[in-house]
Amino acid sequence: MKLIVRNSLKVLLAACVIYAGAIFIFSNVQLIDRRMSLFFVPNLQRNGGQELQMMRDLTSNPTKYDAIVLGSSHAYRGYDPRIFEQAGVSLFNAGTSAQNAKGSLVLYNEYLRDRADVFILDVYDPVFELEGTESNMRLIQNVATNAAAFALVKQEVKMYTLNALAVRLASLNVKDEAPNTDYIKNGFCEKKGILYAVEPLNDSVFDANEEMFVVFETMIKQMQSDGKRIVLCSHALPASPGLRNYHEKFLSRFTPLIERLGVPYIDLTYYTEGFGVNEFADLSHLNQQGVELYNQFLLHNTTFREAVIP
Amino acid sequence: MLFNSIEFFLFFPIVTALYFILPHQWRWLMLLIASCVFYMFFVPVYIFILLATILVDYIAAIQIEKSSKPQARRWLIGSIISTILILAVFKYFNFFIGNFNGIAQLIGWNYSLNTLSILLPIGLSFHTFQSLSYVVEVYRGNQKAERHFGIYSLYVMFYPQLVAGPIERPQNVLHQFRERHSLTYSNVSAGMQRIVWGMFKKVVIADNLAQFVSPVYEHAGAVSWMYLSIAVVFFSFQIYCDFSGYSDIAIGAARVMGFRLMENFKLPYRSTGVGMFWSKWHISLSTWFRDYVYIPLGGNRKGAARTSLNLFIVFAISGFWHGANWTFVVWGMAHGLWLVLENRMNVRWEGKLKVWLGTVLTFGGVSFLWIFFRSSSFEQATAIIKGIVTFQSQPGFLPSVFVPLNGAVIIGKILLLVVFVLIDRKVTEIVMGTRAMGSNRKVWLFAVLLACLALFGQWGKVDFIYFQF
Repeated sequence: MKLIVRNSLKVLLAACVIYAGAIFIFSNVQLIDRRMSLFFVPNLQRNGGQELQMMRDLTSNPTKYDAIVLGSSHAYRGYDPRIFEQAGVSLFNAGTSAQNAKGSLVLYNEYLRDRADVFILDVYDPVFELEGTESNMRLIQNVATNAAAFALVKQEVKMYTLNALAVRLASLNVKDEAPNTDYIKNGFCEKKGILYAVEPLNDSVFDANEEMFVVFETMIKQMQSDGKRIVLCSHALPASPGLRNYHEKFLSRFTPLIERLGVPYIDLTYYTEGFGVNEFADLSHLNQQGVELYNQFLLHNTTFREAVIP
Repeated sequence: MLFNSIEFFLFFPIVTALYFILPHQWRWLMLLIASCVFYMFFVPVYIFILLATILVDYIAAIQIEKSSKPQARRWLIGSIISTILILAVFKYFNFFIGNFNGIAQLIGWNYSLNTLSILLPIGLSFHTFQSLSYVVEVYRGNQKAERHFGIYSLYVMFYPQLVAGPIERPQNVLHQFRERHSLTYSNVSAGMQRIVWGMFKKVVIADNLAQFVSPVYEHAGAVSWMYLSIAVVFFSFQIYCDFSGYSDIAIGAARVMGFRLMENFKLPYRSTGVGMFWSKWHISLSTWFRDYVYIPLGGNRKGAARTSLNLFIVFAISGFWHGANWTFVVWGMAHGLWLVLENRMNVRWEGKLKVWLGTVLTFGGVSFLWIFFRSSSFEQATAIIKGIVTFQSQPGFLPSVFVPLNGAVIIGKILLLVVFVLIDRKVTEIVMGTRAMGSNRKVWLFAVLLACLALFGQWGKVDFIYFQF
C-alpha cells in the first residue's frame, strides 16, 4: 500500500512539474507567428481580438454610460454606439463572442455594476443551449484583471478553464495576437458583407441547457436588486426554414421566466419589415445597414425608450 | 457512465476501495450492484433487456447441462434464437422495415410499415455475444453451467467490459469472480498504467482528431481533397485510439481489482496484410466469429472454395454486427473479399523494405475502407472518395463550423498524431508488460502522459465510437 501511495505521489508531482513547464513554454515561446499554446491547447486559439479591445476601451476610460449592452456576437455587432450617441444616448457594448449568462454575470460584477443604470441584454437562443466553455475561456484570457479571470473559472471549473487561467498567469508578455480589424469603438464591431442565400437551419430543435436559464435568472435578479433597469432584445434573423419552430421552442421555456421576472422583451426575431438579405452579413448577424435599421427601430420603440431613456 | 467522465473518476476509486474493504463473500454482490449503476447511467430502463438476456441464457445453460444431447441442442437453439431476437428487435428492426418499405415502393406496392421509435440499448451487441459464447461453451462441454445467478449475471455485466468489450469467454472470466483477489502493487501499477495510456489515446488523440474528422465528413462536398485526405487518415487513428483506448481502460480497471481480461488490440496498423490486421484488431470479436461462425461453417476443412466462401460470409456478418446500415455490410464484405484474395495470392512480405511496403499498403487499404464505416450513407462515402480522386479544390468559403479549425490547430493535431505514432509501439509494449523500463523512467513517462491529458485532453463527454454497436 505504501509503495502504491509513494509511487502515485511521485507520478502526480512529476506530472505537475511537467504541466507547469509546458504551460510556461506554450505561453511564451513563439512558433512561426504565434504562441505555441495556440497550436496545441484546445480552445486557446485566440488571445486578443474583440474581447481584448473591448476590455481596454472599458477600463481605460472610467465614464459612466447611459446603457451597457451584454450578450453574444449579436450584441457586439448589433448595437452601434455611434447611432445611439446621435440620439443622445451614451452606450457601451460589452458583448463578446458567444457570451452566456455566466460570462455576463462576471463582467457585470467585476466591471459594469457602477458604469450604467440601464442594461440591454441581447437574447440569442443558441447561447441558452451551449455550455459556453469556449466563450468563457476567451474571456478568461482577455479580461483586464486576474480577479475576474478567477471568478470566471469559479463559474465553470473545468480542465479547459483551468488551462486558460494557467496560460494567462504564465504569459509574461501579452500582446494582441488576433486584433479584430472590424473593431470600431466602445466594444462595437462592424460586420461586413451581404448574405447570399438563406439556408434551412441544420438543427431546428431547441435543446435547452437548464443551467444557462438558472444563471440568467440569477443575473436578472441581481441587477434588479441593484436597482438597474433592464431591457431584453433580439434582432431580426433571416427568414430561414426551421427558425420559427426553433424559436418557438425557446420561447416556451423563456417567456414564463421573463414574465415572472417582469422584464420587457423586444423580440424582432421574425420581424421582416425592411430586413431582407441586404440587411444581413450572414445567417445570424446584421451587417451595418441592418444595424442602422435595427438601432433606429429600437430608438423609436416605446418599450425601449421607456427602459433606456427615463 | 463514460470512462472519460467525472462520474467515472469518482465511481472507479470508490468501487475499487469497496471491493478490497468488503469480505470476499460480498464482493460479487457489490460488483454486480456497481455494474448495474454503471449501466443505468445511460438509459436506466434498458437494464431489464440485459436482465432478460441473462435470465434466458442462465436457465438455458443449466438445462443444456442436465439434458440429453438432442434436448440440449433444442435448448441451445432456443437460447440463441431468443438472444438474437432481442438484438434483432432493438438493433435491426428499423433497418429491415426501412428496406422492406424501400422495396415495396420500388415495385409500386403502396404499403408501408412503421418503424419503432427506440434507442439502441448501449453495448447490446457486446453483451449478447458474450452471453451467447457462454451457452455455446456449456453446450460444447468446455464450461460448466454456472448455478450462482449473481456470479453469472456478473459475467455478463462486469462493468469494465459491459458496454464495449472485450467480449469475454466464460473459461477466462467466470472462475475469476470466485477467486480471492488481494490488493497488490503489481496489479494496481499495471492497471493504472493501462488506464492512463487508454485515457491518453481516447481523450488526447481520438477526441482531438474527431474535432476535425466530424465536420469534414459532414461537409464532404464543401472542402478540398487535402482536407478529405487528412480526415481519412485521421479517422483511421481516431477509431483505433478510441476503441483500443476503451479496451485499455477496461483491462486496466479490471486489473487493479486483480481480474485479467483478454487483450483486444496488438498494434494492428503494423500489419503487413489484412489477415494479420484482423488477428490484431478487435481480437475478442474476430476470435468470437472464428470460434462460433467460421469453424461451425466448416472453416478451412472443406476445400479452398468453401474456405473463401466461409471467410466472406463471416466478414459480411461481422460488418452487419457493427451497424444496421448497408455501409457497414459493404465494409465487412470488402474486408472479406480482400482477405480471400490475399489468401489465394499467398503474398509474403519479407525483408525490411517489403515489410514497410506491406504495412503502408495495408494501412492504406484499411483506411480507404474506413470511409464506408464512418460514412452515414453511400452518398457521403462516394462524395469523399470522389473528392479525393478528382483532387477537389475548395468549392467556396469553408462552412462556419471550420472557423475554430484554423491552420495552426490542424498543424497542432498533425503533430500530436506524429508523436503518438512514434511512441505507440513502445508504450503499448510497456503497459502490456512485454517491454521492460526502469521505474524512474516509467514515473516520468506516465507523468508526461498525465500532463498531456490535462493540457491537450478533450474532456467534453465525447462518446466512444463502439458504444453505438
